[in-house]
Amino acid sequence: MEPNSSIPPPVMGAAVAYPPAAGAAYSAGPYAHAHAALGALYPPPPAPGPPSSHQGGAAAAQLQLFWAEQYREIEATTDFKNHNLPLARIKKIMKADEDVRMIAAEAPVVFARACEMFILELTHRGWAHAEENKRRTLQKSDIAAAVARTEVFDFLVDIVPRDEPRDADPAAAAMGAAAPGIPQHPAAADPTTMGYYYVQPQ
Amino acid sequence: MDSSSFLPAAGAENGSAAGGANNGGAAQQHAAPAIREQDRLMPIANVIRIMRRVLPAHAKISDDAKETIQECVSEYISFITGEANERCQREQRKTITAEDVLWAMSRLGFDDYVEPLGAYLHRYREFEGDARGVGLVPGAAPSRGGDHHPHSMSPAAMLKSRGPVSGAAMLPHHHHHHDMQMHAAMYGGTAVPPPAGPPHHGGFLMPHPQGSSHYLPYAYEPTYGGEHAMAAYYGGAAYAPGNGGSGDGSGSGGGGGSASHTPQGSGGLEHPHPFAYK
Repeated sequence: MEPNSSIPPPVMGAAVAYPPAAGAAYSAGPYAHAHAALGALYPPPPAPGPPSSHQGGAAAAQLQLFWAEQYREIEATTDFKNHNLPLARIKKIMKADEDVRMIAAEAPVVFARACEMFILELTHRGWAHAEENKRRTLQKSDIAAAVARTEVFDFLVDIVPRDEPRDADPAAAAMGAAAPGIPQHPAAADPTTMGYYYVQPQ
Repeated sequence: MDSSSFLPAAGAENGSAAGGANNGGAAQQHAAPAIREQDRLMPIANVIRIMRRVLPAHAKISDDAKETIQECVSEYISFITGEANERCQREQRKTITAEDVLWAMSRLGFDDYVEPLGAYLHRYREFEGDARGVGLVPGAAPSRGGDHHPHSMSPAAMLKSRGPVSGAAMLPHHHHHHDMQMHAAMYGGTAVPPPAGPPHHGGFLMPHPQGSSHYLPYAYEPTYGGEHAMAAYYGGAAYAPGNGGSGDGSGSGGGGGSASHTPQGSGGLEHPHPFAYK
């Protein structure tokens, strides 16, 4: 009746999971069965699909590394009191929308982490563009290129000028940046207007 | 706080913005802030510190790039908040919750963010629970162990009912992986490899489990591994485990076996072949 094999049987063989004969088997058997049982109790979920990416395989692999790093950092987080971004400022920006009434305490906490990821992703994609142009300085045009290339960042097209990504020529880009028609700092150029986001010419 | 003197300007801006693109118009409806300059952006020092984490040491950041990222972050917060608030209003609720924020992100294309943030929110809540004094003492391990399974289900059920599915789907795997890791740590010489899991999650390992639901596996594992095994064999029949303390593999295994014989249990083995079932 009892199996003689030293390899522990699967969960379905639980009826004979504890061979009584050898001391070594005696010490290993129960734990091994428990291990298998735990595996049955908590089956792994289906593998998540690859993250959506509009770039090539290398970039997709980099993104996967990025998200794996995010998971590792989250698992390593032990300090939930200090955030890399101030919660009060996040809440104030949320409240800038007059339709927003009450905000649960956990919402700015989630936003603090989300904004970190957002900054990291935008910077990462922007730096890829800077490297393509053999530069070591991240510029506004790199951010604009990252926005133009990534569909999920479409809501930012009004924040960064659209013309710069199409100017592959550095001289043309510099001239574009210096053009008086496209001020780099709208608020400074026209302090009387309160529309910080929408003064860019279309 | 918003100043009433800004309202006409904001209204005018909304009116002029209406002529823009539809997509831009939709975003503008939610992102027409009338707040002071220094309050509408994230602090630039914090932003730069985060940016540098993904840049090589020799990289430089131009001032206009720094300012652009600041603007983009504020726009991101307003964009997500607007979508979350719309959901609140549809459901006649007044408070934007963390789940609303996660839902809005998945709806607006930031699917990759939802799972990590769901895990972060879960751990934050454990931290809050600990801060409120929901802790464990070693002596309470046996009784707390009995509550392990219901406790572990609660967060998943909560997320299922209120949050994105992906957030809920992540929890069982995380817990399972944690158990496997603890097993491997305690019985270093185990001959049984853990069940196959997603390889890209291989790096997950908490050096010191924190939070009540993470403390339980560590506390109960050596004692109740056998319990789970026996429960699986006997169709989940409930019985009192014998061993109350942590020990080596053979010790905990023996404890499980003893429990099946004598529910009151004792630390030692009283029969030469306690597992000889026919």
